[in-house]
Amino acid sequence: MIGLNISTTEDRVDAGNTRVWTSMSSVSTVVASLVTFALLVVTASAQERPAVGPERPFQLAPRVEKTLPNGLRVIITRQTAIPKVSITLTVLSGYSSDPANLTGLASLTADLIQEGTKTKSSRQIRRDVFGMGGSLSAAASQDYSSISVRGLSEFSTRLIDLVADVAMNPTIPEDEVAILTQQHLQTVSQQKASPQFLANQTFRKALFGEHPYARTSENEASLQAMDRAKLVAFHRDHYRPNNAFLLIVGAIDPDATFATVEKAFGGWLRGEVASPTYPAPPVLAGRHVYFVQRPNSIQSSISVGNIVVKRSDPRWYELTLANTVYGGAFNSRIVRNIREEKGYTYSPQSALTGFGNAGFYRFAADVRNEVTGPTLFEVFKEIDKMRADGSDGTELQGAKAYLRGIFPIQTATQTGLSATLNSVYAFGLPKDYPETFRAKIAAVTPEQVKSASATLFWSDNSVIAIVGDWAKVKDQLAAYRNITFLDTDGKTIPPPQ
Amino acid sequence: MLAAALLVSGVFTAATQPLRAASRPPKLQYEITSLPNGLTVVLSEDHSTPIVHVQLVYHVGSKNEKPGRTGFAHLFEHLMFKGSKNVQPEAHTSMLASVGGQSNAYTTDDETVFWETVPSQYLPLTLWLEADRMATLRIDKDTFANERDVVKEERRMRVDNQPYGRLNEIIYDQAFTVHPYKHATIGSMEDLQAASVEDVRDFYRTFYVPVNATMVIVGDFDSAQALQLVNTYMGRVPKSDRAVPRDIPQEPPQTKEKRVTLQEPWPLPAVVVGYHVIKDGNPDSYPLHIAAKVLSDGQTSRIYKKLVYEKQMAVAAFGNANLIEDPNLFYAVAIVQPGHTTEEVADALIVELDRLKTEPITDHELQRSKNQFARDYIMGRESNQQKAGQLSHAVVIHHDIKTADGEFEIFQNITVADVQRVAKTYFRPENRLVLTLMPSGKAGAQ
Repeated sequence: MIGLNISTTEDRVDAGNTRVWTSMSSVSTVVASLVTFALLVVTASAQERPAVGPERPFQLAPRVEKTLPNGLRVIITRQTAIPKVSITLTVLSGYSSDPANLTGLASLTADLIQEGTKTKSSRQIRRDVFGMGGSLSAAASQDYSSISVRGLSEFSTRLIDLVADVAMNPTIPEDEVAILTQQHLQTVSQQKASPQFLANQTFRKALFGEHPYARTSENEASLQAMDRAKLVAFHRDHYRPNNAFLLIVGAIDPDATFATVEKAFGGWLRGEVASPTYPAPPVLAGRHVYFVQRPNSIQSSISVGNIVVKRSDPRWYELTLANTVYGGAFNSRIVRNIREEKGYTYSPQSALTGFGNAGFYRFAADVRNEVTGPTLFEVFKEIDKMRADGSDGTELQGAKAYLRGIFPIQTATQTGLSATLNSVYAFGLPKDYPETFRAKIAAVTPEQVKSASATLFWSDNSVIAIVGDWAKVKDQLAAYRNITFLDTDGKTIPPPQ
Repeated sequence: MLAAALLVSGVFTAATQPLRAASRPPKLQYEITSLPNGLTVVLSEDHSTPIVHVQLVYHVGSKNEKPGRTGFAHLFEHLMFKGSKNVQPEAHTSMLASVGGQSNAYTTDDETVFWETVPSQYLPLTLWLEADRMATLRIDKDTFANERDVVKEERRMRVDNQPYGRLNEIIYDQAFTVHPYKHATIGSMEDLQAASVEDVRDFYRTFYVPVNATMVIVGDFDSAQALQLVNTYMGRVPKSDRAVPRDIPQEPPQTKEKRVTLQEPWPLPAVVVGYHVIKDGNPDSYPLHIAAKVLSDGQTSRIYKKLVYEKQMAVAAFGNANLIEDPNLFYAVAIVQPGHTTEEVADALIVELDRLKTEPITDHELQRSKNQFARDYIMGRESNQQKAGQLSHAVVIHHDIKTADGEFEIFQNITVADVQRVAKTYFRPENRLVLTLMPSGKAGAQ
């Protein structure tokens, strides 16, 4: 959510389009003998790059915040562009609060609380929410679990009541636990067929070890160890108003909405919530390859990276700029290099991800087998250049303009604004983060970007995860001596033949 | 917790009341005009954020491709970023990014869409860039070959190296005989390899002309000024001297049921049941959308409820009414749960589709579908880009911009009898495809 992901996908609601293919491009300086297909030459006056008018002011809608006597923080933004409301209740317990042998407990709990309350069956909840033209989802992530409802604002009172009911009164029915556990087991088995999933999972395990940020999904053993009592206990111990905040963005009246919220959530009882423990992640030494053998793979799914500071670190602005220059935008260095100049890949991604206790840097790409080694060579070449020289001049100006420019685009929708506000409250960022982000990006100096590059990219001490077919790529990886081989279940195996 | 339980009991009472219809959302405001060179222009002001979205739709997609050149429309879309007379290769994207804008493009069966979202003051730059590549694209052989490699990697990543990645490709290859919907937009590796720079020239001159394009601009601008800018930049692109061909082979009606079993290297078997249906915008298309919602929108939908939740014979199950420019498919897919046969799952899917013929959907299902449509209608018009997408779709595919708003009323007036009628019209055995995809033994990639 935090990182800049440069691949794009369809976002059309139109059900008609199921087969959409996107382009994605960046800078190339290659100029060879050109074939011109000009229909006719455009006249001289139109050839000149147009002048630019003054920047227009950007202002986010004001927020109002109140804390209920039970500790629930409530943040409301009135946004009237469309008759819609987005309600997000975030509980500050996620995967990190799972006991080590019960990975997935927070995730399964989030699924199960939607499956019945003291007054409504699973089916009634769905009938209700779909009937109001809404959608309900609940999911856990590293540091928190969120219940999200989107719907037509004319039904906002009932939608708020629904969120409260699901958060406060879930029954977690035994039969639903059995069905959903079975579905999660199927998901786990399907995930093993996805090279991108395996690359990310392997990368995170290698990077974080026993630290809870290693967790990207449940596993068979942990799912089989789940039962209703454990889910009920997780809900009881973590879903508490003093461990939560409620974000409402929409075409609503803030005062009336506060009254609704007070009525709906006022009876939610406080409780002591234990903080997660964070064992130290492994110390990275050297460039260590974790190779997942996936026979007959026609591409290598590569991840490269290291641990970085937590999301609330004040250096986040310069780290974000360093990532943008390196690979976080269309016209960034690594995209230009391995996609536009060399055609190794369609999908290079470079992301800085921040959580409550730590963050990480990750480059990822799917490349054809023959260029697995050359891709790693270019990735580290560009990393070392960033570490040595940083970035300045027009390149840095462009990266700043890009980040400042896309911020209003990202926050123009309720979903985008909710995501930004969720980060502010989940990670304890300054309250004026959305209002000051653009100015703080503008103030970053070239020296700060250079020093941030050393924090962002560790180069000589990196985790490299590759999912592919060893026989097809091993000759290209001869330079790497430290290689651990794994199967798709994550078990260590001898070097494949 | 007692107090809370008492409070929510009020909600429970409310939930048992009959479903209320959603209110009519506000209509889009726009102006439409065309330039002397044939370019259609739509302008819609929205001053809530200082950004402008420009969407340029060329009415050409993978269904315009000739045999042996599948994937070319999408490859060409990539080439449009490779430079023009006054713009260096890739400079289009980098210029816009370095002023705080985003840009990209995508290709479907019917359209190729280029878009930019930029700070308002960069509207002139955006128009200048679009005009330059519409009038003076330049491609050299090396750039062409390099971009073809990128597209091949796109195919490998999204299709060939993914479990179930070829599902759509297989469904359409089996369902169609002559209409180019038979092939996937990404195309085949062989055809991508066969494409040449000469093909680029011909495709450009035929399809990338003002009369085949629609430009929609949504955001923070003054319409009179914006139109002047569009005239200044886009107006200079010369008119085409040839007609845009529309000679797409039409699919003959299917006259008997087709059952096919194939093997694919996927972890679990998949079953597809599909029917040929009518094109987008035909009066029957709207009740078919409702049928699709009843069958597969959300976890209360019939297919999910029956196959995944109640009978637990499928790991996943969903349906889709792919209503696009030419007649396409209504289909349902189920991934078979171990312990169940593909035959029982295929039968269960057919039973659910047949039920729409034999018994009317309930009033509650109809109202829920209409409210879901109201939700899609509103949420599909939130960002400037989404609004532009609705407007361009109405112009390019429906040839009537009023459908961008008018479809709301059409949907709200649909009756249970309409849904039953279209089910009877299209869900006939002789119009059906039943496709079974069995794991070929080795899971994972090919």
